[in-house]
Amino acid sequence: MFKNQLKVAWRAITKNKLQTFINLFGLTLGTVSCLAILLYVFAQLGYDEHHENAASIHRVETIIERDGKENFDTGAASPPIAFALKEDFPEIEEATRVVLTDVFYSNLISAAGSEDSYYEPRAYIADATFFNVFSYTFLEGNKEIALNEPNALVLSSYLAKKMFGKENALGKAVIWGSGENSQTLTVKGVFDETNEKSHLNPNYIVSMSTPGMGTFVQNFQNFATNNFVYSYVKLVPNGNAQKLQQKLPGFIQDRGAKDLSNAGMDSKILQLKKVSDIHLYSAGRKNQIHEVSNVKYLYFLLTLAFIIQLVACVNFINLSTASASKRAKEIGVRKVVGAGKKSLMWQFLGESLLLSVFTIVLSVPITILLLPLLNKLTQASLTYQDLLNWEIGGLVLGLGVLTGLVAGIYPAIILSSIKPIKALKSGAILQSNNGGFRKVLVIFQFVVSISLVVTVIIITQQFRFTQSKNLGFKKDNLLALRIGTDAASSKFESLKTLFLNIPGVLNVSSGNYAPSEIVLSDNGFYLPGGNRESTTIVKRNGVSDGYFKTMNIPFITGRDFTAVDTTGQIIVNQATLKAFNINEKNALSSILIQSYGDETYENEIIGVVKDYHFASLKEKIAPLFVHKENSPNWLFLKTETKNYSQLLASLEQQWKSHVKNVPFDYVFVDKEVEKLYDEEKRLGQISIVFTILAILISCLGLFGLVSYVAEQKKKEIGIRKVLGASINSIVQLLTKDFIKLVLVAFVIASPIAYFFIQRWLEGFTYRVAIKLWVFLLAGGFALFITLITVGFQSIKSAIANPVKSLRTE
Amino acid sequence: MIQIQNLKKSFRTEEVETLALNNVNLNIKEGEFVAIMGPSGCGKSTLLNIVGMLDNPTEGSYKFASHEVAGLKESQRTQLRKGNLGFVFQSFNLIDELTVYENVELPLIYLKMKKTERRERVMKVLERMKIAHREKHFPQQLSGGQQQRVAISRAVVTKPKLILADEPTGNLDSKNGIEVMNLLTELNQENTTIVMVTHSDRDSHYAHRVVNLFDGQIVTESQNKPFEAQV
Repeated sequence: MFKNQLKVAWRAITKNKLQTFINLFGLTLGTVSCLAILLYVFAQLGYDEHHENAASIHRVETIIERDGKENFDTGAASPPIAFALKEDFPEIEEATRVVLTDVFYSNLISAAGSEDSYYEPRAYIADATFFNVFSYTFLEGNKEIALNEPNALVLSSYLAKKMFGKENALGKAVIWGSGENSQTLTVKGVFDETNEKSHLNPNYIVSMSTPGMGTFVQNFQNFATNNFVYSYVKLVPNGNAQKLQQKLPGFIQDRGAKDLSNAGMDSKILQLKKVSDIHLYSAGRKNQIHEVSNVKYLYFLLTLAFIIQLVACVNFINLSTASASKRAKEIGVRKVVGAGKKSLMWQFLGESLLLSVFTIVLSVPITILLLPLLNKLTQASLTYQDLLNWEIGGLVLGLGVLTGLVAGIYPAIILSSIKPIKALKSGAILQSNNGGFRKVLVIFQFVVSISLVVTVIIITQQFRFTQSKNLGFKKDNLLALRIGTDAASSKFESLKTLFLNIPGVLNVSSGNYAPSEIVLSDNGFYLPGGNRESTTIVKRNGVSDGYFKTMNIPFITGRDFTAVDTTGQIIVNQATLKAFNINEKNALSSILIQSYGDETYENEIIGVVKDYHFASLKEKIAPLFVHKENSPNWLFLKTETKNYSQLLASLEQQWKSHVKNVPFDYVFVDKEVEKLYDEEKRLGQISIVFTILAILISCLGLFGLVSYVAEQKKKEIGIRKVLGASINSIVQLLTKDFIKLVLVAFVIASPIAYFFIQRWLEGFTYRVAIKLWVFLLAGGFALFITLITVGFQSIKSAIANPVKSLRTE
Repeated sequence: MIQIQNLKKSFRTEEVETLALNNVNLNIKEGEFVAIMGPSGCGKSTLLNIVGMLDNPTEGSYKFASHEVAGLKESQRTQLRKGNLGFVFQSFNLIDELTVYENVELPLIYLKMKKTERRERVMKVLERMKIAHREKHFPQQLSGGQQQRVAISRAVVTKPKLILADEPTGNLDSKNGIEVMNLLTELNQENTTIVMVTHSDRDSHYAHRVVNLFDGQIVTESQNKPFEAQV
């Protein structure tokens, strides 16, 4: 029986070519989309789950409140907290701290005696306990003791290979930093960095006891300030993180009450975050050690995949029920010769299952072929191996079966309950029963299309807006050169003169932070007459004179730095004035006071610049002050040239002749700014691609449906024509119903789309307004598509010879 | 074999109730060949559908081999029909997607017969109907007469006790029509009961008995002399 049904299914599939094509095309596109999205989602899952007892490892995060408001939050904590926690709570088995080095100073690294030195991102200083908390596989060295001594270094296998080639790295000397600040480290281990996914993903780790930042952190005992140390605790087996969390307010009160009041913090809240949740569930937290994703995006993508597949299923349902008349005779005959309803239901379900399994067989190689495109779109690096694992395999198979069932169950019920007598007499009677449901399905498809079009337009608008919005500084043609070492830094003035002589260089200055870099540094200030209880946090940047000119940031009042200025003179932005309630007129010579322990420092405002977006547009412009910096991290060049390769070559030549052993490392600031919106851009692009797919599938389904309706109405059209109907009126007859459906869908889709896009936009502080025309355009688009697909078919039936259609009845 | 008493069948639309069959009483014995005649719309096909258990009567009793059929559910009717009844239609009603062989095999599949046994039965019937050489063809590749022979093969392949034929020659020319009637007669002579709806006087002469319907009621019944098969 099964074989017979399979045979019939196959023949039915090959016979109705248009229907099969639409179903196959739609379901395959849907399955490919699902597969692609599943692959992407899977790549985002499983971060930090490979550590032994991963569930017991937590990061200690910090929220600082001032004036009862959340004033500051970070994924890090003050230096002494991690080990104090271990001391106080027996349920903590181990603690470790990680300091991200590149924010504080250059992390130039080179093999001793080698000319080649590198900037490596994700370079950490960590406690000796690091490998007790996090699991890494060592290729060389002993992880138990690797970070025990000062000046110990552990390399990733990637970096070890880069620095030492095929030689063993263990025991080799490495120069870290440059000039006076350089230190010699010894390689104590190499770990396999291809190991697993982690939010840490280190390139190399230096022992905490190494003089410099490491020893500073080790010796720093204040529980309130310097919240830049990523602190991790590992609980004992069966340790309860929730109970521990409840004890943390008491802990910080016991240990840090005095420090907190000295720093003017109302309260400091410590929060435990499971490490395996960091990648997906900490998107709101500031100062992440490394870019994190957001589980919301994954839900969005999964929803998109679900919708696309559903649209393809709806096509299948629509076409199968619409074409029921074609199969009515077969159903009737089968019933007459003894088929029961059940066996017929299974037959039709079998057909849809066959089709959906077939689409999976098609989809897997198609997805593999499309992987390069997908990687470009999602900026991921997926390979076919990611596709060929049991989890994805199982999910895809499940998806296939589910698709087959969802698509097939309704048609199976409808088709199997056709009455044999009616079926054998005339197939056309069957339509009236399920026409209503089919209308609902068509409306559903239009609702999806219209909402998606609205979403895509607004996402694109927002993206354009962030790109073209006046950030308050000119990011175009702005080059940032990494200075990296004190040696290079000391040559700033001569480099500046040299660079200015190169044609195309308009302006040169320097600073600690390039716009778009996370500004981790900040100071707490209060006004004269105030005290440290009333501190306001102000972000900090150190620059050379001419910085604002290079960036094209206008002064509201006051002046730029001069040679005689010291760190006691500061330039602030308008947001700072507002935060301290200082009038612009009185701004100059106003004093902001900061205090460390018993000492206080006065800072004189010598200039006020217009607010500019030094951080992402997602954040409001925060108070910022700028002081004079003698050893900055970046050199900024305002350029104007048509030939960048030549300009860069000249710059590199001058750089190399003056600075030894420091690579010529540059970025374009506008590109860096764009990176702030990478996630949105990625999301936008992915949504656009999949939305187009969804619309395409809906249109195809609509086309198929109209073909059937036209065929069903053949007789009616024939009779009308015999009675004198014009082609126009026939076209109207066929299109009228569909246009009504589009209008209904428009009314339903608009509020839905508005609701979701409104929520998405809320994530941006600076956002585009939702305009009415976007909805009208989306509705108009749906109407246009309908008229084209329906119009084509209806004109075809309208001009057909009525004699033919009447005779065939 | 068939006992019908006071059978009524009405069709209802929103406003009108149409009485298709009104107080029909009919007994058919095993081995009989009965023709039902009457003008269009007199209820012939409705009666045949009820006899064939494709439809339920509105009122009255219908006993098939002393089983009461009236009021049975569709699934129960399907069970009773299986293997007991064979149908032949005016428009043949072969499944276009299946070959001749597969069309004839279909009822046996629903009887869950084994493959080898099916093969044997189908080929036997096809040979008898002189259509075996076309077993791999699809219906649309055959002439009308050939298609009807396939349809008769399908009706008899389960060796049913009763064959119901709804104007079996209606779509055929006279030569093919006569051939089909001869086949039915042969089957009848092998003790298969046949109930046939027809418009054709010629065809009705093949039957033992002719029942005339008019406006849903039996108006006359007449016995024929046994009819010699024409060649």
